[in-house]
Amino acid sequence: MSEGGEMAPNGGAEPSRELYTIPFSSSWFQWNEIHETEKQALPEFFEGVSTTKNPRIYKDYRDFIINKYREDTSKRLTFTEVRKALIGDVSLLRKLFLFLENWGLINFSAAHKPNKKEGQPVETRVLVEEGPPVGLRVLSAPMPALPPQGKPLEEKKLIGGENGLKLPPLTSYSDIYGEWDPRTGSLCGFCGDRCLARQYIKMEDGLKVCLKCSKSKDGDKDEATEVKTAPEPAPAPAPGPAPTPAPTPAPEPEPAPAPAPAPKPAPAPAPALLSVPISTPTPVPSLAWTDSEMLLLLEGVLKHGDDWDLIAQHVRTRNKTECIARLIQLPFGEHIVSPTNGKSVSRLPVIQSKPVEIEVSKEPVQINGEVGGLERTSEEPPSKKSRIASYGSTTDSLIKQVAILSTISGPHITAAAADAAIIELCNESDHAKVVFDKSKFDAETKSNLSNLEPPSDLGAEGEQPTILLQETETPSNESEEKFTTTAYRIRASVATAIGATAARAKLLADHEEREIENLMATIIEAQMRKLQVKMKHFAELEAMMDQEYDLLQQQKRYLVREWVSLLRQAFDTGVPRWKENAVPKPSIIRSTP
Amino acid sequence: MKSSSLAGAIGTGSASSRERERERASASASASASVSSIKFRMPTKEKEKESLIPIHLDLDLDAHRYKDAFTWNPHDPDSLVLTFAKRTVKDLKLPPTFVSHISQSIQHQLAEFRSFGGQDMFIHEKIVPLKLDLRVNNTVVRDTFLWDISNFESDPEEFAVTLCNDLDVADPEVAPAIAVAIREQLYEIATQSVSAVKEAKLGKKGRRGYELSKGGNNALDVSRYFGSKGSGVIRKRKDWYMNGPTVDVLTNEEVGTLEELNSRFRRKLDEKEDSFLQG
Repeated sequence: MSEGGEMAPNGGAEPSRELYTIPFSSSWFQWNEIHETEKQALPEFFEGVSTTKNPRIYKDYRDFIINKYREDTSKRLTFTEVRKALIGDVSLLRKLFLFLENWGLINFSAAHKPNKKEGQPVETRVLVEEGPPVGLRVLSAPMPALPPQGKPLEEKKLIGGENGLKLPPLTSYSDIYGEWDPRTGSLCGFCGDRCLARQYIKMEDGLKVCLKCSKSKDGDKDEATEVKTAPEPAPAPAPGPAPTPAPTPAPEPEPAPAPAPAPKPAPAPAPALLSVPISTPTPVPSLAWTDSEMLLLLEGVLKHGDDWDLIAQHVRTRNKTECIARLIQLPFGEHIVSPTNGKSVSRLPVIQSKPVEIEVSKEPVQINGEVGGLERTSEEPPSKKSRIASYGSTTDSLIKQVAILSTISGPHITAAAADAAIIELCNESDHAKVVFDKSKFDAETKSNLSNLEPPSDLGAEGEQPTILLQETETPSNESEEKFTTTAYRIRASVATAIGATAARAKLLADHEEREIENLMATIIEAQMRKLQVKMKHFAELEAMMDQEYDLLQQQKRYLVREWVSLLRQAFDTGVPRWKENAVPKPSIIRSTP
Repeated sequence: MKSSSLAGAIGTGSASSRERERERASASASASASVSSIKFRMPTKEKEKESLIPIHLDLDLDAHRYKDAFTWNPHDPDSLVLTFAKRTVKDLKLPPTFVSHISQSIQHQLAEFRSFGGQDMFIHEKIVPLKLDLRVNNTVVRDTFLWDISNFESDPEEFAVTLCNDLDVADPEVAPAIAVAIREQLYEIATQSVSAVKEAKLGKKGRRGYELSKGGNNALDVSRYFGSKGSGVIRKRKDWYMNGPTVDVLTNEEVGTLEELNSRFRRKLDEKEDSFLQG
């Protein structure tokens, strides 16, 4: 059935349209005739017992359906479109439709409808490059003029634009205001245009890019845009300038070669980034599960087990079905629920890979990534340390976790961790090697870090670099004075500093966003309350009306009773006949109590 | 003449169903060739010996309202009813008094169905328009389509699933609801045809034309479309919209207001009924 045959419309009144393919095995088909195959498959039309089914009608149906498909051969013809245009029993029409489809006479060249259960169909694949913090690129060129020398720079999303200079957005950049109004489609993070529904791609850090922008990025720089999970700014305790991971111009779905620089979740984001879905215009909250929601969900499951109502209550923003669906999607999600299985929640961090076909969700990635990263970060990770970290990982940002970790562990461990991180970074990229000259790595690291100290003292308290630097200050400041390397290091340090401030700025921005959301929520609530008050008012009015109505009924009954008693009295006194003209019959009949 | 058509039917019937043969075989003498009398059953496809009937539940006790519609296989053992009721009450956290009510209601409807069993009904080829107008959670579906009630191969579930897939309906509860709605309408038609048979047997001369005026359903005037001088079976393009489905997805607020309106309306109706009875 896979061989291609060609069918040219012969005969018929239509001018010959372009040829379209049907499978070779269907070559018996002819426009003017009805073949034996058809007669056998759909005998209802050919038995001659029914007025509604005869060959002429069959031919009409068949020709109509095929012509309808030929209007657009690339688009899959659905049964619903066909049946609304035809008069006849829908079951029979469906049988005919399926017959034609199975024989490839229609929908043969059409795109296969993707399985709905797999989430949103990924029609266009946005290839992204995975990597650590984007914005801080350490190059061999002077900072202000970032020449397009390296693909790494170019491929990142560019923001700013003063003086025609476009800086790569810092890692924590996310267009918060762009995605504010989830209902009316979002603003593209790049061009600021309103995106039409279904035409934007939702990046992992919440940035929405309209198709035009993403396509243009592809075209210009031969590389897709990069995606970075937002709550992972400057993850490395080491100086922020994470060098670009093996920059490859060709769209390469593979993640960076090394099992990621220290905190980077290795294979996890790659598949995740690959399948960036085209979001539908559904409101944002119903698609993306945030960390806090996931945490609540898991806590709820552990506490309540099978009782979905309580779990849904626990996760305030989701209803039952969503909770269930979400849990099933998690790796080992179902096993969490069933108490017979011994797996516990803490095994989640171990899972590194993520199924591709499930819609992009950054939560498992983050949960996995952050913990996975931390496991790698701490050189001597006692397993209990990573457990503690995993506990906090879903609520705090990575920086905070690292800060906490560093306070737990001693300074030497932190230093060792930093060293390890730097080693990893060096291993990854040549750029890093340029800066952190590997041969002199051990000796210069300390001096490097100490160099970093002054610039990074920008009030970024609680930030890991600061703590680290203060703890690992070494005297060997002025030892090596290689001018070029110093210059690089200065740049590296400046980059770190900026990274730190960026992280902080992101925190503030998040805070602001939350504030705004709260305020909006209060406004909306106030409106709702107003409406409810009005409704209550009307309900009261109604109640009053009902009361009055009852009163009236009572009065009526009372009157009727009076009338009856009057009548009785009249009969008792012997009045022969009472003229009943004045009393309407129905009320007399109904007046029996 | 009739036997020859019978032979012809059996001869060609590689795909013809057993039901159709039975139908032809049991054609009563008085009926014309296209009308035959068969035992009562749901005019839908019987997969593995089950013919689903629609069950409707609407209970209002202790300020809990339970409204549900689903299909049931009347061949299932009756013990299943109790199990089902218990499970439902547990899942939906209804007060336990509901168990008995639910099972009673289901049994009642099953008994009603079974009471029809064994009686004859006339099913002749009639294409009726079925309508859908239902709301499931947040999705509103309105549709109208033609259904041949003599087609025993018809499958409402399949139709519903196709409809939902073609229209990309996200909510998985919509398809079963559509299937139930279709079955309800078919069930009504089936029961009406039974009563039509009864009336015919009672010999009411006035109902001689029972075939034509059955039920009040506006059956399709087949000759207009399918006869030799018919206008053809392809609709005009402007009619496509009317005969196609429309699916709307409501927001939660709209659903809330709809339910509010519905409940008020129902209350009003109840009150009016009561007041009418009381005087």
